[in-house]
Amino acid sequence: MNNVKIWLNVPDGSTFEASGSGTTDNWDILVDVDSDTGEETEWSRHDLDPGPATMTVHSPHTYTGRIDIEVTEDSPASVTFNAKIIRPNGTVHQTPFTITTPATAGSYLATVGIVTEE
Amino acid sequence: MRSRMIVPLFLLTFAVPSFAQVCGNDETIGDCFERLNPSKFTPTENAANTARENAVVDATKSQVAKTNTGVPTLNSPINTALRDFLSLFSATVTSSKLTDNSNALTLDWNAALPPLSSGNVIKFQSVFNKPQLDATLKEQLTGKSDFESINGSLDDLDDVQLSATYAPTTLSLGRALEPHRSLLEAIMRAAHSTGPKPVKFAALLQLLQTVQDQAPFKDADPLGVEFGKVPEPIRTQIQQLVAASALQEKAAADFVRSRVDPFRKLLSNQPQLYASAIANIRRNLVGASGGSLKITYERGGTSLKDFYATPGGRECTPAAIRDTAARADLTTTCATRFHGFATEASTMVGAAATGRWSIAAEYGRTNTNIINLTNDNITIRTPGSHKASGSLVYGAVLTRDEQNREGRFDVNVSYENYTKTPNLTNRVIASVVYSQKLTDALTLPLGFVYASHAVDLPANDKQVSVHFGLVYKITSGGK
Repeated sequence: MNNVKIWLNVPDGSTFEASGSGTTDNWDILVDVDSDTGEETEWSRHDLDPGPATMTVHSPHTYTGRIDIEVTEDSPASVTFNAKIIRPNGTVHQTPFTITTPATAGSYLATVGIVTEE
Repeated sequence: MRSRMIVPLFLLTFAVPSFAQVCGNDETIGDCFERLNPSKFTPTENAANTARENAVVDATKSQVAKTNTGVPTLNSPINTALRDFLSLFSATVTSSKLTDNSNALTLDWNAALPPLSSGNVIKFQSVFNKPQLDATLKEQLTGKSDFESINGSLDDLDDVQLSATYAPTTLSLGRALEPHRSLLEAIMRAAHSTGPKPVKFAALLQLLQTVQDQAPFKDADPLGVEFGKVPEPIRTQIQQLVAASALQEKAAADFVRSRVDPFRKLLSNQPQLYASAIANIRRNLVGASGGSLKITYERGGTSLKDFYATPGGRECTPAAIRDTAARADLTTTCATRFHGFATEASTMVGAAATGRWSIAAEYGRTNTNIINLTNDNITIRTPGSHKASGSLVYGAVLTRDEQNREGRFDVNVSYENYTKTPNLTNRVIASVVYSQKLTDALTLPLGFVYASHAVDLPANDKQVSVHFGLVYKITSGGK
């Protein structure tokens, strides 16, 4: 189950932090995070590589994110994407999320969800 | 256009089966999600702990294009119509039968060096030919006492070809992603804004948050919770939402893929233009040194260049898309225009064509070579020569296996003109080569070469030779 990640009970004011890197230059990435407030955050490769890109999450809200990694044919990169939640006190909330694509051209999508404490 | 989007969305909304039947009680939430929306990522036992290991392993594994670019050697008679400027490094060993001197080792390095901008590389290539005594010298030395010692004195650096090749990467030329990144990002943004939204996944999150303080969710990763341990009626609700969200995410991924795949194909078809400076460095006992300049243009099927040439595509240059004032509107407009272009029947046929041709012109000079062996009373003076040549190569992919590894076929015809050197005869060289990818890293080329005369020799001696070899390619590690 490495194309989905859920963080529940995230403390108010925590930071969602993400970054990506590839073994060649032939890849791109789009991270699209939607809040139930209607607010949208979008990160592309120049935000994430080397990154990290960050956003603060607030209570009581639900955030859904899609990670879209696109690898082109010649020469395909192996891309690694890392994401984690950092609590206001600086500790990491639950476990980080890491995904790696094989070095093959294609579209690679993953879904993440964040729900803050009520 | 609108009907194309409405139909899949309609199917997604109404054609989903009974979700309670879809997730089994013996499955975890994560297992059911992945079964209905299979992951394409590299499997990890524990992503957090193994991320670093994966990066290392993946960097050293066969991170090589499935594309077969054949023999990389610039001046090989078994050339292909597709030059590789995208792999980091390749090594090639070629051999020939029916001729004396065609065994060679080629080392090929595509270097992204400053001040070249991203996507631009210089290809450095070294070809180590197996050194052979000059044909006239060999004839005169045969039978003499020091033949063996002179022949044995030749080493691997006595017949070397060094070259540097520059292939500019622009909107119209080159197969690297960099000049087209803004267009790709516009296509990705548009696909995400028009594709299915994760509304079912959001509903699943909200439901899970309401039960996260209860067993079996308390202090557990919700994705690892087994449905059988979840009490009813919440179990059925979660099963329905997991199935619905997994199918919705799969539909979203398929939608994005359908929008980006044509871009990938058209990028791979981009023309290439490159110029090479070639130096042949030989010990005088082997032959004359010299050098040449060569310019080559390659063209395949329909490519991104053709999109930029359309009235709509002309306004979708990276500079225009990056212009923040116009960006919001232009991003969507260009993605729509690209999708329209990519789905035209003529584009789809042209993009699917695997044929690719290249045309090259070369001017070369061979220095005067003097061999003076006083002990054997041998003096050989070979005058310098000038050569102008042109070549035409056509190649196409013939086979593609289950792993998408290609087998390609190339036909190469070149004409060498020695008009400025009356003692040499013009010649025609023709070759047919089939190269097959054996693994992601290894390619096996096999070629037949016809030459109307041996190189640099006035004799009228038609030659046919068989060439074969092995190409090893590495793409990782460079940016």
